[in-house]
Amino acid sequence: MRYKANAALNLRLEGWRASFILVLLLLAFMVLVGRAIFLQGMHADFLQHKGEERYSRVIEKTAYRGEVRDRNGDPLAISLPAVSVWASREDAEMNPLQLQQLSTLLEMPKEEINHRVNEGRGNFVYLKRQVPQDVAQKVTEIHIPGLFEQKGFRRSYPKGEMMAHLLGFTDVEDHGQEGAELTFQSVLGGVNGARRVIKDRAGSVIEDVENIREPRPGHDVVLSVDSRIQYLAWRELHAAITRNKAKAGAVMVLDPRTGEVLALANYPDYNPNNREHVTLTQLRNRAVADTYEPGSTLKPFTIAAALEANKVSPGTIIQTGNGTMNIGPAVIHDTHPGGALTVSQVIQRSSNVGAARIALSLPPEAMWNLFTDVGFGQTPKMGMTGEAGGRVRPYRSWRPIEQATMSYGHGISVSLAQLARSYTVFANEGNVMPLTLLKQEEPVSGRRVISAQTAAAVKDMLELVVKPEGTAPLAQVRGFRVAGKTGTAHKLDHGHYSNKYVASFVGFAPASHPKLLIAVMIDEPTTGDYYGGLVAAPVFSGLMAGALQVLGIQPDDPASENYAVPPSANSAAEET
Amino acid sequence: MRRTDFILFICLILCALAVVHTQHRARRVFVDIEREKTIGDELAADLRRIQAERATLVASNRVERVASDMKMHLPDTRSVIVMGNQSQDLADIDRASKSLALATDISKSNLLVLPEPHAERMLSKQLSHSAKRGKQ
Repeated sequence: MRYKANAALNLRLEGWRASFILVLLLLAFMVLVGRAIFLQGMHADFLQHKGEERYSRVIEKTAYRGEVRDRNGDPLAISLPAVSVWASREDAEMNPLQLQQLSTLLEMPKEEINHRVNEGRGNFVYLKRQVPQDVAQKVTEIHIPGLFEQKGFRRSYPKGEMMAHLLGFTDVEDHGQEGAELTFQSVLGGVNGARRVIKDRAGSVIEDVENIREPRPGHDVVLSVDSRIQYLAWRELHAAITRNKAKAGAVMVLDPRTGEVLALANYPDYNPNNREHVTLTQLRNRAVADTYEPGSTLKPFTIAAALEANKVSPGTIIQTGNGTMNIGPAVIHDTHPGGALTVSQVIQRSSNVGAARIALSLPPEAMWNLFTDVGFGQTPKMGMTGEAGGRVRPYRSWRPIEQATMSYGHGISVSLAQLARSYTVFANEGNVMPLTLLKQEEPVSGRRVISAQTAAAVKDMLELVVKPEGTAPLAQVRGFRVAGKTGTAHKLDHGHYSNKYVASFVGFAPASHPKLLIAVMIDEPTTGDYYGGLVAAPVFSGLMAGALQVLGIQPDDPASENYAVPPSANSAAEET
Repeated sequence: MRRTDFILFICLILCALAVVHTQHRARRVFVDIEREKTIGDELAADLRRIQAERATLVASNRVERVASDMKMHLPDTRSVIVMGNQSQDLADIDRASKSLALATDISKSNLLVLPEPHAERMLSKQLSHSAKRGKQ
């Protein structure tokens, strides 16, 4: 045999070695198979996800915040696209020229930019938020490495300061912070959507993978406000504040038939588009958040309570004597000694003694009931932030002197909004209307508080107030019958009445079918005049004349020539 | 047999190419849609900006400022004649129409009449009547 010639070929490997290699190879295969099962079967989702991450992105779809419009559809607050400029601290590098350009564009001092980029922890830092788009475009053109932009919104308030308190404002995250923006946040606020897409190498979207969430834009809100009347209110208030060098003031205009707020203006105010140096005083919505002693504007309610209780009729004679009245150790004064006055004249001339005498003929409970029924002592719930409820003490604790002073509006505190609302009783045949900031499409039903006859009787008395013998001839509006009441209240200063005053006027027109109700409050007039009939009544008259014209309301007294009545400081004098 | 295989193979290749082509077209169309959507968003944003701008421009305080720059003002209450309702007597209308005639004189033209349709009709009748008389 040939093989036998080579002895080495006759060597036989031991059998186990081949088997060993075979097993080894099989094992290696099994490991591979196992790994394959692991990757493809058990671990597939994770890997799929990792893979997708390389090319798929979740993109946020931004949703606009709803617009706020006035009752005529005029936009009052609109969200505009804006850009937030942010920097990556690790990557940001700019030369002095770029820094200079950036500082001018963003209206930020260079030191502040440097501080933000160089100090602080973390890589991410906002340089400026809510930058208008055209400015952001220019920032991009400087080509600073490490500087990025993020899309967002900026809220724009076209009407500026004249609507400031009513609308409020939003923060950088587009959430309402004050006023209507806060009240209607749940309606206005949009919810951003999200979708997963596939991006190509260049970063542009090439395919939709899934819709994670549809964006839900905020709904528009239509307020009850009429921006034309709001402007008139704001302008008249500003003029009066300047004329009387007053500290503060507020005006409110209502539609007495529905309780809709047509205008609400405060002084001091601020520009909601630029709130960098706004103080808390400017932010304060005085018409709803501040309470004060209303003074004589409360007398009509005392009279109404007495008429309801059948204690007096409009013609009943009340003796006011020499204009003083002693109740225990306290003395109540009238500015003019009136002698014998009818109940109507008590209102017309604003006699404190007369009101006190009528009040003392009433059980305290009757007064308290009416005060509470028309909303004093409770928040008006019109939906503004920080609404004050004022204070009406429980009638059980009233002493006679307190009942007497309360009859002419001292010892009780109300907000201008409450006062305006309470007068809807006289304008609306005895029904008090709920206040609302939203435009009402349907007729609103009020709540009956006093009989229609009583309301009509008090309305007739309120019309006398603007006659030449009344306290507010300056509140007249040519061509219209006007009803209203003045108030001049001493301010409390550290628990004592000081020589500071709050002058107010509340009234409505046309008196035959009231369509507008205006409440004016001027805080601390300092030029000498401080009576409501001299300080607040002209605001009412100017605003009412303008508003009636804007709304095209027919004159109910066209033949009247009552405009040119010479203002008589004497008849306007009153001390509450 | 071999012939059928070949035809099927060609079909397969064609289908594969068609898939590639369609996919490519789908992506291009998608990119187009995205671009149009972006333009749509930008236009919507523009609309908002323009609305805001318009609202700022027509705000009453600006209108009044511009008007006063142009030396315009609201008519003085004494030069306003308030037209009444149906019960208005003819004497008032007569007075109003005379003032209207005066108002053609530029110096006294800051006259504002607030008529209701009824009064307006009567007024225009009165005016055309007096115009006829003028011609005679």
